[in-house]
Amino acid sequence: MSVFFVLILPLISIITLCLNNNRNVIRYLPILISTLSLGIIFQFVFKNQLISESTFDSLYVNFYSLLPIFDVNMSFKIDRISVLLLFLSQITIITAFFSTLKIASNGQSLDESYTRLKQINIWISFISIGICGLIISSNLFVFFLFYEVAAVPIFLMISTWGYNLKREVSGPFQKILKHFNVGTREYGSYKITIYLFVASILIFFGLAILGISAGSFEIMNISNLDSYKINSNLVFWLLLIGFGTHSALWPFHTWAPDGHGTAPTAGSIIFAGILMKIGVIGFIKILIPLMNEITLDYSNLIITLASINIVYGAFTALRQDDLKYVAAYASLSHIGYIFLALMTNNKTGIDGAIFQIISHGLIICLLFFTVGVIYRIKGTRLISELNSMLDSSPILSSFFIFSAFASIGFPLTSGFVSEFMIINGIYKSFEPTNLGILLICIPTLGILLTTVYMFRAVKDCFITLANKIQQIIDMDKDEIIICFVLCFFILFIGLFPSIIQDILNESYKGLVMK
Amino acid sequence: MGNLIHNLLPEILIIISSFLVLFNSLFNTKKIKEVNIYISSAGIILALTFLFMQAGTISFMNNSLINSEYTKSIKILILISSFISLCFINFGKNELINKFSGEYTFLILISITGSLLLVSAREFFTLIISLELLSIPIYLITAMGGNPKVAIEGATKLFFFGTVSTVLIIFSAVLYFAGTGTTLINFSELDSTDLISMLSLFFFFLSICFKSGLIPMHFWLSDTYQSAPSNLLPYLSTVPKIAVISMLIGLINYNSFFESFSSMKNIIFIFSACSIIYGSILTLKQNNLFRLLAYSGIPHAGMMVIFSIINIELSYSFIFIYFCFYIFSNLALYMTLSFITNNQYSFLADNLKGLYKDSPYISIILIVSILSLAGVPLTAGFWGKFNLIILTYASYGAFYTSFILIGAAIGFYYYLRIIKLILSDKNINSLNKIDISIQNKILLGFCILIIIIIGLNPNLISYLI
Repeated sequence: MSVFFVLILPLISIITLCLNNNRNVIRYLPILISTLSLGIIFQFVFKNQLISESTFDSLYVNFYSLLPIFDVNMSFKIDRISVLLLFLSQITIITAFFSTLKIASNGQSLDESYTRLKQINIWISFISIGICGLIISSNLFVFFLFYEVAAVPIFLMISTWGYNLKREVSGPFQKILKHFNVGTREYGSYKITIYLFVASILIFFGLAILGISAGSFEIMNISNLDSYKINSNLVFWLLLIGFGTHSALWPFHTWAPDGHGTAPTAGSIIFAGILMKIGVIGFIKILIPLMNEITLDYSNLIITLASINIVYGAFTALRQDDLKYVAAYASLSHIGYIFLALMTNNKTGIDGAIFQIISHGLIICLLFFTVGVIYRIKGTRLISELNSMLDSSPILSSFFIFSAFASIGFPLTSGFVSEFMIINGIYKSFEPTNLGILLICIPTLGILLTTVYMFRAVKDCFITLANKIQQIIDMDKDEIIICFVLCFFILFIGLFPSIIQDILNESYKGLVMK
Repeated sequence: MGNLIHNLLPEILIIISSFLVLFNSLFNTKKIKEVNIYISSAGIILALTFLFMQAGTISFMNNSLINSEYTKSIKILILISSFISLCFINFGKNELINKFSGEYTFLILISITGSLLLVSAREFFTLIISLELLSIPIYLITAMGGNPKVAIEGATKLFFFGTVSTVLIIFSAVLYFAGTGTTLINFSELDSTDLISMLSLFFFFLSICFKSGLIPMHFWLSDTYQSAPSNLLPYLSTVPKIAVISMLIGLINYNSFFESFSSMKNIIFIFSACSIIYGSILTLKQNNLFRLLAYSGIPHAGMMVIFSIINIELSYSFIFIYFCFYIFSNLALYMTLSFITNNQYSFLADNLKGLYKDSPYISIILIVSILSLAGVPLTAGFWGKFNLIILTYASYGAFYTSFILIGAAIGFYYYLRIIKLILSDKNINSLNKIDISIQNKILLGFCILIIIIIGLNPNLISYLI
């Protein structure tokens, strides 16, 4: 039961922050609370002996009934996958809190910057509640409810605390686009909001139809029903577009780079780390288990879109000058691996998908965090303006280079394990066909391109020598701590992947389509 | 006779208290405002107690009025919301109120009586009289607005168009009488093939459209909201709308109406769908805060009218939740707005910039009420829209539901825009310092509390009815 405190603990920090103006409380209380939640999750893992024991099935709690007619309850379920996702979400939230610590040095008076810090921490706490609730929800309605709780603060966070970028507008729609102030934070926040709310309405509509036609909103009750009742084309398309938009699946991806570019560092971290995974969580929790047959029918479509994601994201990242855009397109490319792996339909592939979710979350957190620090120190994120960072800030550079290697999939990092498992899974399920050979080529090409754009960034920003000697400015202590924690987890998963596999155990069975 | 008094006791009590208020303000010289508060609250609270004692379905006065569980719950809501808005008006430090407290309170109490009668009315004369009782005080108070020139313009518009709508409903009554030979309303008695009866229904519905601010009779809303004294808005935006729409819902479900007039379903739905979509689009471009919020009321009215074409046995508690959410969110919204705008009829939405920094309490209340109106989860507004969407899908399918969804989506845009303005940094025209009396703070806190409680568990509300 105690694991449900992850939903309530952020409320404590929200209320305390509203009432308190002590600077240390504003800075460190949210971090403390999230660390406590992380501790609760670890305690849950060890108490139920999730590692190397197979006794734990899942923990289901129904708190109270909301709408008895339609079987809408405030119910939650914790299974093996959601434990891992909870872990990832807490790590992401903690990193986001750490990234806000230095917000004070943004050229404003001290009081103002603390008010900003206070507000941004409150929004992140709300997002934390939303994400955790979404991960452990066991009712279609609760799923949507917490989804919205997570989505609203994003808009406010970006529109009020984002960055204004200078972007050149060109092309046939130049005149129209100029009207929209492309590159400003208003543009970014409205773009994100419009995309995400349209997605949210599609998801809502899909879930409502699913719930009403099945006669129940409880996920467990629906999964016991005969499949003909819920396998409707309309619901599938609504959910595919909704979740796809949220995970930046190919034709619906354009909000992601702009959103990342204009968002504050904390926003980018939360986005890439966990919010872009909401769509994937939707696939894992709803689309694949409940609408099994129809998802299998359309699996070729999803595979195609995911492949386009991988290649397109990587190719676009090659051309970017802004480090944040590079990271954004990189995460776009890596999301494609997850979708590809979910469609492989065997244990290795699906385990690989979960691995990739977690590993990509950790790596992209580190990447965005270091980019944020670069922006704080140098005042720019453009590759063309940065050079010889390895001399002027060695620790920061080493962390960035580490994250670049991890996202390439260097052995001993978590990236290697997940990419290896995904390729393995694809080989197992599609091997005898021509399609299989083609599909193996795509992730490999993705890895190759990742190497190119990451090395380009590393070479141009860190290794190229400047003409004059620069002052040494480096990360602060607390920044080093969080980077170190992230590196530790990345290496730990890379070195001992069997631990995660033990936690996952047999849970792939729910995701295999018949 | 005893039975009649027992059934009409709440209305009678409020009428008595309204005249006591009038006499008090005529003959009393000291502390008029305070005594008015006591009299009016005592009247409303007594009326509420007697309302709670009523039980069962009773028709009286030759079946021209009806008391049922449905009317009882709606009346409770109306009384609570008018209690809050009356207290709010009298607790304020507005000069206008200090001068005209007696007239204000008297007129609003009369209007409340009208709305209570309207909910029960099942006969054309009673209905018309109670509609007039509801509207005429509002015409008068609108003319008392802060800027005389604008106020007179708004009040005149409202008066002229209100009169036209009354004429429409009288015409509808005449046609109805011609068709059936009685003035007791039972629409299913009408001959569905007859032109006269269709015209009667049509004019009736057009008049309802006017009173509740549906498209195509919405044009008075913006001018009236802009010119009326801003502390009337909590009352104006909730009680008349709720009374009229709940009357429509009660009338239509009271008779097994749609068996003979199934085409009316589509007609009502077209009216409300147009209100939802077109009203949302109209709201997008507004910059004057009053006009923006006035227009944003149109989609809500459209959504409430949809309840009238859904089977009442299924939707009974859902209607109540929607009304509850609408009343409390609007009360909190307009009460705070009246503090902020301070009767400036040309208050722009951009002037809200930086409000959070100056007065956090007010802006938190404003934000929660706006989130509730937008329908964000964990507030009451979410349940209102969620229930409506589920019911519409269950009875009419995906196509009809999509209109509500599109309206809700556009609604998110303009509501979130206000919140963004409140939280943003820039503060060019700084607002005056806002000081609120402690009583008003409590009223505001109460509204917000109810919004959040319903948002967390909507079942709690079913204990009330």
